[in-house]
Parts: sequence; C-alpha cells; structure tokens
Amino acid sequence: MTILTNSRASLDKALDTEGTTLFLILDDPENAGELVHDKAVAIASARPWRNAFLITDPSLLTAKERKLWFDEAGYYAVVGGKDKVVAVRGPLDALIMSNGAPSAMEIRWSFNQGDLLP
Amino acid sequence: MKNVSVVLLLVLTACSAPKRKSYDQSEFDRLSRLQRGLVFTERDEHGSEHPISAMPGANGVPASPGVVVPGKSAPQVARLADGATIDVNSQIDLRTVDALQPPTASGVVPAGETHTLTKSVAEMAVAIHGLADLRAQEQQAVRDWNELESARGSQADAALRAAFDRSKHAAASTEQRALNVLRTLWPIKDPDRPKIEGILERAFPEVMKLQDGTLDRGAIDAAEAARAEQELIVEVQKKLDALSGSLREFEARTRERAEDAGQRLRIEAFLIPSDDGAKAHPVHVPGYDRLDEGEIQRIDPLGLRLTAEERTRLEELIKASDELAKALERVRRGEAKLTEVFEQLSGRLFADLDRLADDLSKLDPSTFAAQKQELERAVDDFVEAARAHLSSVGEDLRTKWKSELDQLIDRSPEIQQLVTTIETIRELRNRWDGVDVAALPKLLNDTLAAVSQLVTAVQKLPTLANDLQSHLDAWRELVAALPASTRTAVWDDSALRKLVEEWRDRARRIHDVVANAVALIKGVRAPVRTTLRNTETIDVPLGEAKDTLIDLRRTTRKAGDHLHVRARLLDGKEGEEDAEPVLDTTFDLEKLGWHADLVPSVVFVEGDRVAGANDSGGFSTALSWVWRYGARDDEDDPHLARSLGWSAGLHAVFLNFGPDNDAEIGLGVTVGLWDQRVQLGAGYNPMADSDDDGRIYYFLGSSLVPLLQALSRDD
Repeated sequence: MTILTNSRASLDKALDTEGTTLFLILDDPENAGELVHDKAVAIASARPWRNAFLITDPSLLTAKERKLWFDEAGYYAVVGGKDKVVAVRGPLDALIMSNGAPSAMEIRWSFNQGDLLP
Repeated sequence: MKNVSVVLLLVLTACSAPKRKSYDQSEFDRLSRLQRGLVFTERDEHGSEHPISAMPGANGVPASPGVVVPGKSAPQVARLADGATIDVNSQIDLRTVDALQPPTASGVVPAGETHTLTKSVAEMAVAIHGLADLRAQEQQAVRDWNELESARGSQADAALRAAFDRSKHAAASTEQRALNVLRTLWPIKDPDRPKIEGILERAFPEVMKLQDGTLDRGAIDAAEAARAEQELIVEVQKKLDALSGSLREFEARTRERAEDAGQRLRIEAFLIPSDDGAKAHPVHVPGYDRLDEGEIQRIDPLGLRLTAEERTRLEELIKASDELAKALERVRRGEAKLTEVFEQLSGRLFADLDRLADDLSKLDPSTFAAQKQELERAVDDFVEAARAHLSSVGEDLRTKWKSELDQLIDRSPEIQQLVTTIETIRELRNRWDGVDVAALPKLLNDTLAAVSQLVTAVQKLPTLANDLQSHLDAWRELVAALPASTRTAVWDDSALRKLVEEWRDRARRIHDVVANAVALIKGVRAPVRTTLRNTETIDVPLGEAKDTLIDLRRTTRKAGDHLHVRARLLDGKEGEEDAEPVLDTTFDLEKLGWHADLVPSVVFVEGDRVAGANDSGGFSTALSWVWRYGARDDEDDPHLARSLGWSAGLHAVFLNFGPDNDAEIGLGVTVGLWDQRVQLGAGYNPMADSDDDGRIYYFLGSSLVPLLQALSRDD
C-alpha cells in the first residue's frame, strides 16, 4: 500500500529495510501529488528496492520527519542510504512539465540521487 | 688609518625581497582589460620561464574562474608586473589573453567560459552513449537485490549487501550521467521536453503503466526499445551540434565586434639608461612596430667582455673614482679643504643649487602675496583692455585664469620647505670649513639629517615642477583661444604675459635643477618612465593581436637600466583616443644569478709595514673584479645576497707608500658588503723590495658608484 491515509506500517517497513530508496510525497489536494505518485510507482517498480509513498495525513509523520522531509504540503523528498537521509527534496511543481504531466526524467533523477547515497 | 677622512655615505640596511601587489578576486575584477589581458613572463637566456604577472608555481592555473585561455595552459595575471626585476640577457614574453577582448553585449558569459562549455559538449555526447550499458547494469542490480532479500539475516548478508550496493550505484551513476545531459539540454519547462521524455520511455519500457489502480507490466518490444534509444541519441547529438555551433559563432562574433569597433592594440617599449634618462630609445616589439630587429649583444655575466656602453661607463667611473681619490688625498694632506673638493667635483651642481635657492627665495610667502596681488592686478588690467577691444571676452575666461593662478599659489608651502632645507645645507657647508675631528661625528649626523630632509623635499619637486609647467601651459592654451587680433593688440605687450613667461622660465629652471638634485641624493636615478613616442609603431586590430617576445639582447643596455613597456587600447580605426587607461609597466634590468663585475672604488690603503715613513697610508683608486649573486624577485634571500649585498673577488690598486716611491700596483682580494658601499681588501705589492717596503697592504673603501657618477657630471 503506497497511499498512506491512516497507517504508516508499510512506510516503517521500507524505512527499516536496508538498501531501500523511498520517494515520499506529502499530499496537497491543489497540487499534482497523485499524478506524481503514480509515475513514481511505475518508475520504482523496475527496481524493487525502490518505493513511492503518498502521505495524505500529515499527522502520520513525526514532527522531526515533517521538518526533515518537507517544508510544507505539496512537497516531495527522496531518502535513502544506510541512514535513510534526505538526498533531494523540493516542491512538486518542479517535477511538472510544460504540458502539465509529471516528468519521468526528474523522478528517475531523484531516485538515482537516493540510490547513490552511501 | 690615521685620519678619519673616509666618508661612509648611505650604508643601507638589509633589503628584503621586493613584493609586488598580488590581486584577490574582487581586485582582479576591477582591473582594466589591458591589466587583465596582457601577461608578462621572463624567459632567460637558458630558456627557463620566470613568472612576472603570474604567481610563482601557478603555471596553467587560472587566477580566477572564467579566465581560461582556449587550448593554452598559459599563466594568468595574478599580480602587478610593474617594478619587476629581470636579467639583462632575458626576453620578455608578452601574451594576450581573452580578457583583452571587449565584453559581449550581454556581458554575461566571460569569453573564456566558451572553452569550458565546448569541452562540456564533448563530455555530454559520451554520457548519452553510456546508456547502452544501463539495461545490463540495472538487471545485475535487480539480481543482487533478490539474492540479498532471500539471504537477509544470514551469514552471507554483509557480502551480498556490499555487492548489491556496488551494482545499484553503477546503474544509478550511468543513468544519472545521461539524465544530467538531457535535463541540461531540455530544462523542465522546455516545450520539447515532453517529446524527449516520450522517447526515453519507449527506450526503457520497463516502466509500468497504471491500469485501474493496479500495476501491469506491458510487453517489452526490444526492437522498438532499441530504435527509441537511437532516436534519443540522434536528438541529443543534434542539440549538441547546434550548441557547439552557437559557441563558435559567439566567439567569432566577439572578435568581429572588436574589429568592427575598430579597437587597436599598440605596444611600445623603451630602454631608459640609468645614468641619463634623456637618452631613452625605443626597443623593437615584434609584430607591433617597424623597427630593425637589431643584432644580439649578450652581456657577459663574467663582466670581462664589455659592451661599448659598459666600457664607456666603466671608464667614466674609473675617472671619477680617481679624481675623488686624489681630491681626498689632497684634503688628507692639508693641501685643500673638503668643501673646495666637493665644489670642484660637483661641477655646476652647487652653483645651480645657489641659483635655485635665489629663485625660490623670491617665492617666500610675503613675495607670493605681493606677486599674487601683482598678478591679479595684471589680470584685471588685461581683461579690461581685452574687453575694450573685444566685447566677447567674458567672466569665465577671467575665472579660469584666476583658478589656475590659485592652484599655483597653493603650492607655495612645498616650495617654502625646500627653501628652508637648502638654507640649512648652506649653513652646514660653512661648518664643514675648518671642522675638527671632535666635531666631525655631530657634523656628519647633522649633514645626513639635512640630506634626508632634502630628499623628502626634493621628491615632491618633480611633481611640483610638472604641475607648474602644466598650469602655465593651460594659460597658454587660454591665450591661444583668443582671436589673433586681440592677442596682438592686447596680450603681447601686457604685464601679464611678461609675468607668465617669467614663471615659465622659473619652472623650467626648477625642473632642470631638480633632476640634478634628485640624481645626487638618490644616487641613481634617471626616471623609470619616458614620454617618448615610437614613430615606427604599428596599431594592430584587436582581433588580430598576437603574443610577442621583446628580446633585450637586441638593444643597447646595461645593468641598472629600465625597460618601459607602454600598452594602449585605442578606439576606432585611427586616432589617439584611448578605450582603456594606458598600461605602463617598467622593468628593472639587472644581472641575476651568479655573475661578476668590474667595480672601481675609492679606498684608503695602508701598508702593513713601511719602514721610515710616518704616513704610510693614503687614498687611492682600486679596480676589483667581484662575484656576487643577483636574487630574483621571487627568491627570498639565497646565500644572504639580499641581506648583506655581499661580493668577493680580486683587485688591483695603485699604491704609493712613502713620498719617495714611484707609483706601484698591488694585487689582492676584495670583499664587499651592501652592494660595494663598504669594501675591505688585502693584497701583495710585487714591486716592493722587502716586507718593510709595504709588501703587504690593507684597504677600506667604497665604490660609491652612483654618487660618483652624479658628482662628476659636467653638463
């Protein structure tokens, strides 16, 4: 389950597994969170150590996680490496092309940044 | 030594290596195009390069980002070149770098960055072609992950984890290099970006498509994927080719702009002899003038094979040393007074000083006040007369003239200081008459103090003299602007004209005497710049400006001279308007490294044993052949050469022990300190009949080369 509405069990499992890279989105109904999430899931499936999560309820996150991963709703973050640190983060709008579609290249690039963490 | 008769002047303390100003980034950015765009390097006669504009050891390293010379690893401007010391047998390599070119219209991209971008284009092409390895790397990473998952918690876990990390990184790196290229060439909001992303998805069809909330893996068409991959590479190559073309066009446009703007580079060089700045002459700058190349004349580092110039100077110095030695000997014997000797040797100098003081004494404050009033009255009278003749002569002409006059009067305190100092020296000259040994130390102290004051006052005088002349020239221009009939009818016979010409003559005399005084006190010094023009110069269009090599060996020179290089960037295809401030750079020519010189000196020589003589010592002339080390600017103090200015060698000296002996010549060794200002020697007199005949002797002396030269001038 990659859309987190009331449970973060799958997120915790992914965070606890060594070698994984996570693409996280804090949803904002006015932004393209779901579109980006769908694209990220499709891209992640080719490399099974990757996961994509769409968080719809900010209260599922601790204050520290909210502060480290997202500035506010409508933001994304990629975490990875041994200590699951943030490789890249930013507003979802930075992942949207001129035609309104999410950019596979940007999502791939962000995942790679997470994969390259030690 | 029986009498304290040797005067030790100007013993210098240790000299540290001269440090020229080096630039930090902000200072570099404020330099003019000429300062940033011309890089000086010395190439010695062995072919080794010594940086002048660059810092030592920084060859090929840019002084600041963006200043990269395409295809070259030339040093860049990192410090001031003016004042550098170079060897008399060296060449000066003068390179033009891109910073000389005018900025682009947008001024955004430093010209040197085009080279960096061109290089990046080639690297981009390589990164895209690397995608061919991605599929295999990704599959390896998936296999390693699956193995790791199945072996979690087992003993093989750590090794499998390491293997997975390696293959995961490899796939991510390869893909990232290609994605960086694609993201650079087609930024996120580029209208062609969706098209490129579509090609990318066809090339790597493992991407799953979402259907009804489930994930589904579509069938992979390998042939279609390969075609899409080729299509992607073609698109990238087209973009890179267009980018390379744009960069080349950009560079060409920049150069064309420089030519269209008609900017020209003019480089002139002049050799200024140390003993007579008036004999400055142009030096050939290949590619920038039509002067003859000239023949190579190497200056012998052993100091034995002299050029005509060196021979002439040596003969002058030997003559001057001989004259001074004889004069001092006469003083020692009581046959002459010291002041008489100085006056005889100094030629016109003291007479000139007297006349200068007389001239300047007319300019004391009360004289100035009276002169000012007189001048103002003359101005008023003249203007009234001119107004009567020509109604258009207006207030602003009067204001301009009075403004020039006020600036002139403002310099009176400096002139007054010089008058006071000269008065002090005149008093000291009186005290030198009849001086006794007890009073000598204080008198010497007071003299040195007065000389030091004179140096300070005189140092301001060249500027003052030049200012005086330029103010008077400004007046002359204002007069020239008057209609001819007015000049004839009113100016020519006016009291103002007479006063102005009187001031002009005074300024010229001040200027001439100042030059002598400065040479006397400072012991050297011809100017280090010249206003001479090279009439054979060629103005090179900026786009065609090339590097050049100034060969010092092809011009008459000697150690101590200066080379003045003047670079100008001129606007338009003709004319003398400067687009940038003129760049003047002066180099000091010296013999560097180990070398030897013939050095004449005045010495007090005394025999070790001279039987039957009450007075076995006396002043004489010695000629030494001494070795020393000339340190380069970037060397600190090798062999303590800079601190002690030491030298050592052999000498020949005229001897005359006892009044009945004929002149003899002694041979021995010399040690010098502080650039020959102190010399110690000892030697053997082969003409002595016995040890009691002064066979062994010693001496103490000084070359005083610059001082002797100044004192013995007769012009």
